[in-house]
Amino acid sequence: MSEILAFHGVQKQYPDRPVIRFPDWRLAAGNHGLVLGPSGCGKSTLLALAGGLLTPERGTIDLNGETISGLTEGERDRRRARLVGLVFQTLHLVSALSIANNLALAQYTAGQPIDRQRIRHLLAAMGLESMTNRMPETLSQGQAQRIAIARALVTRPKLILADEPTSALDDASAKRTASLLLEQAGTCGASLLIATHDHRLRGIFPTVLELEPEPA
Amino acid sequence: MNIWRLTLAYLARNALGTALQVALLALGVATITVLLLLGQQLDDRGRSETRGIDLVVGANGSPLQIILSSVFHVDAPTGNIGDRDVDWLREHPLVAGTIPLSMGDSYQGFRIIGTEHSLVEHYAAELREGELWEGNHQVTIGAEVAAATGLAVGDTFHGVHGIASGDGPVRGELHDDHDYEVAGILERRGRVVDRLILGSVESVWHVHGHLHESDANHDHDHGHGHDEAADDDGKTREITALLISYRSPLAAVTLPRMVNSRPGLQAASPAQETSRLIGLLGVGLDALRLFGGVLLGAAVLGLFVGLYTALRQRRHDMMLLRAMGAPKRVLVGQVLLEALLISLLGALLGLALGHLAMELLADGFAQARQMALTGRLLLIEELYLLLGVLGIGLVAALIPAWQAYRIPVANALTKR
Repeated sequence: MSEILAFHGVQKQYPDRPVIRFPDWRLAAGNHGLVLGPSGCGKSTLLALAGGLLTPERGTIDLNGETISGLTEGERDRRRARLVGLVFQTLHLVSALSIANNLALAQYTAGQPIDRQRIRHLLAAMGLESMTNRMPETLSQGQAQRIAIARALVTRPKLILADEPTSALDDASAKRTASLLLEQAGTCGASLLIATHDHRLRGIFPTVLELEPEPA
Repeated sequence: MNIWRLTLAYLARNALGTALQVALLALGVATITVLLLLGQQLDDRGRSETRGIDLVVGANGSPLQIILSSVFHVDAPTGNIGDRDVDWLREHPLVAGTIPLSMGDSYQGFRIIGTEHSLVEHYAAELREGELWEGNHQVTIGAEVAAATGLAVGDTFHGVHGIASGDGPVRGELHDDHDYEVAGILERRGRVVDRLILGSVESVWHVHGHLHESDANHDHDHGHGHDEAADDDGKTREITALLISYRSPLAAVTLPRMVNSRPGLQAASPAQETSRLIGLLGVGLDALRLFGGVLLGAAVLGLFVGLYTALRQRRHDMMLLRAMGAPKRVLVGQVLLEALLISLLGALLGLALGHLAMELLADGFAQARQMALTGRLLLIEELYLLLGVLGIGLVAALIPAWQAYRIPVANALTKR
């Protein structure tokens, strides 16, 4: 089975901070993974590296069989637009656009034709069809989070990266969100990689990568 | 969904701020547009109305007043000149051609000018209907006169003693013993001739020959030109002014001096007086231009602040766009497009407002009507103004665009 993501000898350093060394690991296409660890251990950095938002100082990162760590920013932008769906910690939606247009915006930035039918179907499948034409500020936190998940899926990515999607939620909501992510990723054949300190998710994922706390 | 729709959504979202930015730009552009239109037309009128006239000779008085009254037909004449002086000028070897002007009456605010057919040739005016006047009872009227009074070929009317000098029709004595008949109507020329009623010099004498017998002491407040009118026996005939073209450039040096040395005569050079007038107006126009510039400067500053603030508010949106794979040029393009759209809206609205204001100005003031000013013309300078506004709009967007370019994509995941 081919790999969607592979880290090999990856090191990342921020100015005036100790080097973060990531263990070598791979995620098979279609498999889901969980990155666990306390705050500050480099979980978000790992996701940013996987999505090509950052490049490592050392080592290589392969995305969908191609080494992206040596590419230019523009080239990484294109790979990310085509292959990766992102669910952010803060669920940021563009407040000037309706829900449907927020999803359309993701299709636009991915360089895909705007597919209104796909947007409608996806929102319907997630039980969100009533929100199609609403503006983001009229949504509750939980609704906004589900819209953010829909947006990550609308471009049919091969890899979904989610940063702390459940840590602010109660047990029931966390479980529901995690299953929604898994279910939708499965529907579109994408791999799901979640970075979290939320141990409630541990049992659900077959691949778990535990990062060590930052060395003092 | 694309960069256009995103930009429009942002503009609509901030409708109040957008409207303010557009309105500020529009005010600046409108001010400058009015000045362009006004300056161009004054310049144009000055040039076209004085073309072919080298010198105007009138009665003693201000040369500027002579030009205004006899060339632009806006001011009252200075008085009359006698036929001996007229004959002297007509036969002078330095003079190539003359056109006499005799005025004193009007009809519904339009001046009745006693002259010769050569004045029609001078204006290069074509007949739209009918013919040029013949004899003492016929007149040929300008297009504007016909439109405003409803006079048609064959209609008759009575003149009123006194002429309009800018403040609308006068209420003078009605010359109801002298009928004028409309012989023809001239094509519209966009010049003062559109607002004139042209007849023979004799017809004007004819009207006033009777008048002065019966009423030697009538009211002269309107500055009409018949105060020293003809002897009743008709031996001394007077006109208001004589338009002169030179036979040689040499005449410009000597003739005005010779004219001024004769008692009661004043020579006025249309070119000199017009440039003097425009020079006087120029101070006012410059002040207004400065005002327009300041308005535009404030508008551009407003645009810059608006874009800058918007960018700060949308920093997260921009990171999000980058994280979703939008290249930097989309972010930069969005900022520039926003600036261009606001500038374009402001400039177009400003141009439209400027034309509207000019049209209202031209319509609302008798002086402007008399100069045949209009808001219904387009200047190539307006295109430059439009492009200029778009240009400074882009300049105002440069710093915000640079900031958009530099927004880091890496912290998009965790930024709160």
